[in-house]
Amino acid sequence: MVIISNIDINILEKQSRQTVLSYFLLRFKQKALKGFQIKRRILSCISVIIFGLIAPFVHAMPNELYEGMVGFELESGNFFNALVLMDDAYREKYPVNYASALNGFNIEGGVKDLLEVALKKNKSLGNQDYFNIGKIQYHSDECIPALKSFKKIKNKLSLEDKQEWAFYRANCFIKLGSNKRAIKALKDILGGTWASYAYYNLALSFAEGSRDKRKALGVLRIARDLNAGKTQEEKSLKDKIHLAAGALYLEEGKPDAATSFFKKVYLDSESAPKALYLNGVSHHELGDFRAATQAWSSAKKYSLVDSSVSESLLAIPYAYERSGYISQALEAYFEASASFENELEKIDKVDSLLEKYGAQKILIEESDIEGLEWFLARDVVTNTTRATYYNYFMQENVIYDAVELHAELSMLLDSLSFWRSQLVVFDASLKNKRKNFKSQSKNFNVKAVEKKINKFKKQADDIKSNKTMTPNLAKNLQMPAITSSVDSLRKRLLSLQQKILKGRHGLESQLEQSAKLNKNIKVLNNRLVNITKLLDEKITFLIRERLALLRIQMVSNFERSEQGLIHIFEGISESKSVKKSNLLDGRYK
Amino acid sequence: MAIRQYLSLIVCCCFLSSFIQAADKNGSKKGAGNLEPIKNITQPNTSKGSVVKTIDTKIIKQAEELKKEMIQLNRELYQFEEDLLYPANSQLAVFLSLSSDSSFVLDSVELRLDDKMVSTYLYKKAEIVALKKGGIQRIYLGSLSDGRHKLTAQFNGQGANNRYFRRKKALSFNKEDDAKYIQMTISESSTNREPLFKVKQW
Repeated sequence: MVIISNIDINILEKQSRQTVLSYFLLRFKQKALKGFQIKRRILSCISVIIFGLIAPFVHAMPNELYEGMVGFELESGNFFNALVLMDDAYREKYPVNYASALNGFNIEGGVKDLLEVALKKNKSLGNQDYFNIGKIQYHSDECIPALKSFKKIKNKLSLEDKQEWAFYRANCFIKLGSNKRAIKALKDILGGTWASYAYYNLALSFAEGSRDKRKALGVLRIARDLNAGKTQEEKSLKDKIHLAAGALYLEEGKPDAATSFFKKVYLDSESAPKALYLNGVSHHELGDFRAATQAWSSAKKYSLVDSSVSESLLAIPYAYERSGYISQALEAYFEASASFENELEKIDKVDSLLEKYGAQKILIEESDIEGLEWFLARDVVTNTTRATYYNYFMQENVIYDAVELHAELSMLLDSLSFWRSQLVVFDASLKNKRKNFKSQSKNFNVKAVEKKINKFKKQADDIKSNKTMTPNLAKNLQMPAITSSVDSLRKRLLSLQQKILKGRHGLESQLEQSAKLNKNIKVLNNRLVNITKLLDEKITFLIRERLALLRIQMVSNFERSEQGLIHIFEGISESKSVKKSNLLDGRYK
Repeated sequence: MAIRQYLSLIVCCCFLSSFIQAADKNGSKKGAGNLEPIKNITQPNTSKGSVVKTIDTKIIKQAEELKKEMIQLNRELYQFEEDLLYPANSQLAVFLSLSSDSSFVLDSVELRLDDKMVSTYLYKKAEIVALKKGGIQRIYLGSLSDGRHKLTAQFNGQGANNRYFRRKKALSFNKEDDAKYIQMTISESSTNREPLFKVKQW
């Protein structure tokens, strides 16, 4: 089984590669709209909002609120925020949550140990913990332990979680090569996107493992029925299901059934070029060369980077030739050769610029590099040359991982930049406070106040010791209150002295802390910049390698096109009775 | 260089095999056998082959180390910021939670303190799920003087039967010389399935 595996080899689990792609496209868009400086400000503002809301982590607050806050960040997928919020006590109390957050932020070190510790203390583990453990194990390709973890929570989950749970279990069984058990795992699922993905994966597995495609087609039908097709993700999956079903029917030798599925794929979908190409193949098999040519011609508007577009370009002249339209076939071959040559030029241009500037500059940051305007065109997000190239690069797992890491490091650099600007403000405010504090404390003369209090006390004592003083008079004059107010004045003076001393120390220590944090920020910033540079070199190397492969493919396409031309010319020269069907044929003769 | 040559070889082999396949099936047909449209759309996908590439482990280790240090540094920075801007004696924090059985789909929240807008938030699907799973969101953190204050929250969203709701909840409270925590909870009436908004002062 080759069709399915080649159409969609990378989809064995529900993960959207668009996320990283969109991140980079978003970066481009932001920069394109307002320029680099403005974009940084936007990012800072966003960071202020995000970081501001999660801000203090040490919880003087009630524990219930604190744990809920961490849970919110964790469940929302903001793993960095969750990790920042987690204090030592939380990490010890909830090792699985900590492991999930680390795993989510792609920190593998220590995750296994945490899980082992958690599993040893299995009495304290809840359903959600086992579910999270299972997911971590699944993502580490440890399917058997993952299944063991998932098994412990059977029938104890909410409907929504149960769908996800069944999806992971089914995928584990598929990975382990047991489609039968995968079907069993999915039998309780009632619906939803998870279910649709799970059945789609199962269909791919059936198609790969068996010559009989009926099972795969049946499972695909379930996948389609479970898919509501409302969200972008669901629509995209529906297109993939239709594409796969069409490809299977084509493989089964039922091109008429195949075309009905290919026609259902939306033209703005990422599956569209392949669907158009295979639709052309179906029509070709049905002997309808005109319809085949139309389908392949429709594929021409997509980028040649997609191999189905190249194949369409090569298939058009073939169909013409088969229909006896030799002149059109020659024209189409010329057009194909020119397109391949043109694409080769593009590849060479991108490659030489990648070599000169690196991937970060060419593909990630906004750049006004001369001669690359066509590549950097940013009017449409999904269908530009750059977007197509990105998609092509991201099909390579290692590039995807490297770019994902790059995105994470960029986020960290942005957060450092945010904090650096915050600390400048804090510093200025603290220094101002210190200055005011100094001038105000200078004006505060302790000895003069003490002298006044003493004088006041002496006056009070004099009145008290006056011979004419009677208890009634003392009561009327509120002598005890005067005495106690003298005492409280002394106490307040003492406390004020302490506060001044403490305040001075407090300000100094806050300034020291700010300086220390600033230093740490600088050190980490340098390290981050260095590692980002290293990563940029690595991504550049990998992308150039992938471009080299694309170049080979394009050269091969060009050669096939030239070969087709030669073949036609040979045919014409060998033929003794060439009919001049039109002027073009005569010209080529 | 050697890897590149090896990869090139793999790709060439892929193409060769696809040519052979096409030729085998249609060898009898007239015309250029290897030019016929192929059903096998070959992508030069090296990850599928025997060559498994990974990012340099040194870079990954360094990055992981850096990430851990960044988490620690951010922790310290938040702590510093809290000490400076929101000291315990003047701190006010407002939290929001959503009961798991509530069918209310929260669109946005607007928060006013003493009739002054202090916070607004638009919710994503993942955040609603997080709230339903027991997550508690802090929607406001600030400093406030001691004394009487008024907090008003406006909730916008869809309840049961896709009915759109816009409800306000006001709370007068007394701020004393310590941190004040206010939690707002959205739940659902068991009788008419209308959203209920409760406030708790910690």
